Amino acid sequence: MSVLRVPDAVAGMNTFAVPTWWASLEDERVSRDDDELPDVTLVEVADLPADRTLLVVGAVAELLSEPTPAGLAAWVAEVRAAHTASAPVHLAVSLDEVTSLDQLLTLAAGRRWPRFDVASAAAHTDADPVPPQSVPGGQGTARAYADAIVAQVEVLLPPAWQTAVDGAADATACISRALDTDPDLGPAEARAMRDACRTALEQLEADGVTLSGPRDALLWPVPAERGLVPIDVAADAAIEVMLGQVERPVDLAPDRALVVPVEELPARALLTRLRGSR
Amino acid sequence: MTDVRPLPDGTTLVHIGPYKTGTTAMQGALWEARDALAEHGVAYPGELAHEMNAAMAVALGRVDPGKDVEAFRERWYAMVAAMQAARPRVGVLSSEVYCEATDDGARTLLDVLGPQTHVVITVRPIVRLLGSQWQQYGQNVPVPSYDDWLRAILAQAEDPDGGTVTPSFWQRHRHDRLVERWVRLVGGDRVTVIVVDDRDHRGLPAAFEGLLGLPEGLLRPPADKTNRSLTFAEATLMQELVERTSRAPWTSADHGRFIRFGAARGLQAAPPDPAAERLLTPGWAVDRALEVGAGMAQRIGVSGARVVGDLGLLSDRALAPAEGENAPVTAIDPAAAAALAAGIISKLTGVHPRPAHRDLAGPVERAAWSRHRAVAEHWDAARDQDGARRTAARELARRARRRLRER
Repeated sequence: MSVLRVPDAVAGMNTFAVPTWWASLEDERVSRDDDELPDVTLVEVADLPADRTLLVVGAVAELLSEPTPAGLAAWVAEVRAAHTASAPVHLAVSLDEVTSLDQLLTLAAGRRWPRFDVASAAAHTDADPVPPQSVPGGQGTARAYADAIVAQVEVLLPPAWQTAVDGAADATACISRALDTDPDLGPAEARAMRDACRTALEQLEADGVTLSGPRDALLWPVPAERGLVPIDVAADAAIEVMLGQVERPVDLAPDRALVVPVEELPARALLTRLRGSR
Repeated sequence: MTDVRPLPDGTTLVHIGPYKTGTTAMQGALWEARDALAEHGVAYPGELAHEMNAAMAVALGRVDPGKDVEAFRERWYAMVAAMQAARPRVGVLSSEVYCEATDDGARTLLDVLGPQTHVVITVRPIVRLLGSQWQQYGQNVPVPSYDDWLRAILAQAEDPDGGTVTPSFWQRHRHDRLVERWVRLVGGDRVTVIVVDDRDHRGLPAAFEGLLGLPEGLLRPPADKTNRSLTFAEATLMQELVERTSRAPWTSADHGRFIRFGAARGLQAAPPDPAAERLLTPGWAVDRALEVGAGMAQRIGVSGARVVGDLGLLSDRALAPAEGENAPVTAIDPAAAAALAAGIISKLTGVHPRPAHRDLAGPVERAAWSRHRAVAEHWDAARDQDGARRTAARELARRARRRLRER
């Protein structure tokens, strides 16, 4: 049994973690020990490999007091302050509000919410088209990207439709987040901030902080360049496709019952082969 | 190039590349024509146009990350055994991988194929290979900028085994040494060098038709849009992605499957942005490459191998690529950016929902497998339930009919 430490809302992080929210859960796994660990709620978790401190974060603009290197440094210092050897920080990026303990534990495990819905995915096959992707804010460059990705994606195997849809949605969302149509900073400053954010995340990871969720949201947005997508943003979107898969797997029970078509039973297959060789 | 003496009956032609010398085009042409080849007594065995991993297993003792070397070694032996059992007039194997064969690999290849093996080496001017090979390496591993890479590579031309930057470049492309090596192994009378002239699209197929004793025009390389050169912006984007996915947490198995054969293929499959700049080769590099090409032509000429085509092309400035230096690019056309991600997504959708994931699969492939497997099992369970329901309905109907009869 491991313990998940969830600091109270601070510096734009864990905004859900207020007394009324915890009280609403009424779950015996949740406890407080203000003498030992002030401002932290503890959750007992059976399937976490070790204790960890969870910081749920949204987009970078919500985290920084100001879009400057000083503002970024202040946020990084807050993360480092929560990071200890006994309970390293896991930064879970979630652009949706945390509304349940199930969701919280999913994020703490490095997974995305909502989880992969097998029944919903099974309602489609490769014969279904990948639907158009929405682009909030209506950025022209992001719109062009979204249209192009839907036009180019192929679904190669029948059960993979949802994978194509998730991939297209994850990549498009990443581009939309990254391309700022209403910038607070000039292009050069925004570029410098994005690079500084990337460096800061790399340093946090080097210190042992782990990350999950659409972490590109922690990079300052930049404007499109004359209708083109910045190279690093295009690479972020491609990487986000793979991260989205890794963080939305299905935990198949190893002892699950399998339905094997009769013709694929080993004895039947052997018989077929023997017949074929006559 | 059409007056090529056919190889004697009973020969096995082994086309060993090297890379970027028209191998994909010839493999495609042979594959597409295999029924017609059979009518002319020529066998091109295998289940793919290019049995790359089978060739790698035997020639190099390794396969692509995530694949089983023993399984592919067995596949190569089975492929060759099937070809030999059919006793064709001429058998053909083609893989650029053979050009990098280890000593053991080359020995195995020649031992298994027997004394009537004839080695074919296709060569192109080095000056035309620089850009495409830099791009190719950049799809697999982090590489320096084109200018830095050219300086490192061209400085190593006379010491091909001593480089640290993409050391396989000169192992593949000191074509003169490649020819000399195989002449030493099998004798000059059993090595043919074909000089590829990119301006003559019939030249290479015609040379193969001549060697194989086939009617003119039988081999037609398919139009291959998936192997086009990248624009400079696309190459820059590809290298940014490779740089970031060539280290932890990404694994070489996932990198190979989803970046090299996913993202890169996605970019190549999309039409290039007509406004995007092509890769340009600096003038100093063109000069040096032509000089190296002239030296190689001279050594190939005296190697003892039969030469088909004009060795003078290897140092012909008329064949040099566009000269100049590219300005750095920082952004790319949205359609190309989308093609990169679409290549990965399409590759993900090809992860098979077999009962267990491959042992050597990386985390990305395992995650995709778990999703596809769960969906497939959901369908199986629904079918099973449906089947049970139908069986129960049939049984009820049978009982009802019996009761009616009994009344």
